[in-house]
Amino acid sequence: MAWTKKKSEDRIAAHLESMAEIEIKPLEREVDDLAAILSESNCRELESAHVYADVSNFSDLASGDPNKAPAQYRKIIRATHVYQRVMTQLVETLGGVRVHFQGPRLHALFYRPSDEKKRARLAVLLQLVIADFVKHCFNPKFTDIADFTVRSGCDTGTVIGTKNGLGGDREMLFVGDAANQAAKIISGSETHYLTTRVYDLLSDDLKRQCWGVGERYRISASKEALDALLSAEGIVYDRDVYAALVKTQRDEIELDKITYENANERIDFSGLGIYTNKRVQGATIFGDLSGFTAYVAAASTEKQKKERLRVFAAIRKELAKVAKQDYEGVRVQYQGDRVQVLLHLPKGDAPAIAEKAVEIALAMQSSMEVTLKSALPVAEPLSLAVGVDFGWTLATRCGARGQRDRICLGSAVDTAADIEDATNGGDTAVSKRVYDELSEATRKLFAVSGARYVAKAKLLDDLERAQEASSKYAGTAVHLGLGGAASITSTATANSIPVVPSRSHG
Amino acid sequence: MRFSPLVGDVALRGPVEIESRSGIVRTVDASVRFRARYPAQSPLAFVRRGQFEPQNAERHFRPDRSCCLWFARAEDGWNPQDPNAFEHFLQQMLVFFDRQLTYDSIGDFPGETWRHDRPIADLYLEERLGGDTDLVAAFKAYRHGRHPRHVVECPCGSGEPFAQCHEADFVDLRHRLAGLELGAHNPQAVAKNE
Repeated sequence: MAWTKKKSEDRIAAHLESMAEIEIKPLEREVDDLAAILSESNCRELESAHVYADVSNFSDLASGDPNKAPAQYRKIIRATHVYQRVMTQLVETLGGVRVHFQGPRLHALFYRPSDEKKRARLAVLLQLVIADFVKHCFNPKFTDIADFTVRSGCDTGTVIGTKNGLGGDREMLFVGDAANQAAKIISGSETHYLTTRVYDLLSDDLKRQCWGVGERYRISASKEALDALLSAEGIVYDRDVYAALVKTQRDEIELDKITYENANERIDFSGLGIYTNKRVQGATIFGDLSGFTAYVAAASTEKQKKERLRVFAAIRKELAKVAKQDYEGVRVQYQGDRVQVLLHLPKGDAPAIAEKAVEIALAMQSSMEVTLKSALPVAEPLSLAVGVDFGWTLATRCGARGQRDRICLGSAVDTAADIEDATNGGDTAVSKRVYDELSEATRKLFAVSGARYVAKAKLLDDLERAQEASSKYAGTAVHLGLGGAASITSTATANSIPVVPSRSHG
Repeated sequence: MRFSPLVGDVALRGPVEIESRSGIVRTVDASVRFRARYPAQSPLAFVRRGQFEPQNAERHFRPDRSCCLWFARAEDGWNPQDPNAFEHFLQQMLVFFDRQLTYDSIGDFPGETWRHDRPIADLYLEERLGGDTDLVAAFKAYRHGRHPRHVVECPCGSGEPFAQCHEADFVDLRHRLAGLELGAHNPQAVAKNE
């Protein structure tokens, strides 16, 4: 089942053969359903404002032990589902598009109207509305759990939209600096930031709510100020209505029916929802394409852009298949140029899961560096940064029908994302939790770097050599195969010859 | 590999490919140099600078940067009488490269090696004589012409006559360690005399 160069080569070749020619057209603003027109080969260039809104304390909320407080755990799950549903409505009220939720993090965009100043205004208003909604409408209806705290980021610019997935699991993806920066500038607890690009487009009434912080701007508004701003825009935001909506949605969910069993088989997200969640001990792996945004931005011709999107599609598909086909992992989501994977089998076997997670990470790196770059030499400037953590993780699907996101919640998810973020392209890093579960042989591949362990190994054969070292050279013969390349194995293969290693001394 | 004549020596140069279990191929840019006294002297294997660095004793490279595949005087070393000696050399070279690739991965050279903290000739002698200090001392005396009489009891304490016990080993050891100082570590001398 494990990754091999041949399997990877065959998969990539099959995918490239089956890919339709990529088309990139400017988006027509009359389009109502963005997701309906986008596909892997049908891409649209759109000028848009992007907002990422994050529940900054969610990791703490979701990391409780349901064995100790099952009712509390169910309340958190309920709150998460309601939060995501109502937030989606909020986005649509302001004329935006909910791209997806990455865990508790919302990505929304505004591609209408055609006036970029108007789009920027709406995006920033969304940030303020989200902050207000959570404080005045949402938290007061969920007094049985700790308050959600939200933070957000906003940027604007040209991006290329594409799509992955089928049916109810559609995933729109937007490639470009605006989508990137909107996420990158988020920090703090209950703070809301925008880039200079956005600030420069704002009218004076909104600018008055902002102040500069380094290279970005922070925004905040009182209830009265927000009401005035929305009124000027003709946007109706009735707090009582939204509070009632939250209450209704909350009351409709029967707490006792919420389940979160462990999984004996590989999780199938299509079967998950508010009442059917899975809680597993698993490794979360994030693989992020370093340099991709700049790579696409540097494309100077239409042909180059298409070529780079083709590379992007091929890489994404192959990385997901490494996890799914080679290692029984689950592709949770694509998030821009990043893929999120969950590995939870063999069930309850932490050391085996940790070892397999490292193997997946290095297999992904091997696909990137060996097979993808060989099939697509234009991918040479790109590299993969991988982060891994391990812990109890809740897997579920959130949202209204037709707009459901696969999400995973838990501190392991957040830590894996942080580790990946801190890791350079070409490198793989794991948390201490993962490191502690690894065998002595595999640990030799890692060196401590702050709170992470960074692999000295770059590719899967490094792991193979580490794992085989002591048995292969245990003092008896190795087996030398002489084909196109030599192979040295611990067990005999067809046409191999036994060789007793001599003793070097140097 | 391609033929590359050097003044006094002849060399083969080229890429050597080693494939892992998953099919990833690593390339080692290697050369094999045949010295003037080949086959009395073994060939020497080298890798290009930049690979398997640092090319030092810890990684089992000699000061001239040649790969130390073995202690040449040992049983698994170079035997100029063996018609398959060069094939044996190439096999050990490939295994050596695989061990170096493992070193690159984990920072350890896998498998048994001779220690570096003592002269190789001493280590080999002790191993051949089972660590018996009396025998080792007896050999050193033997080497300097102080031969036990054949009918004398063997210094190992077996009670057997020396001629029927360890004399053959002593003769073989004297041949294998000819020209090597016992107690002095001189890898250049070792390479020169291999």
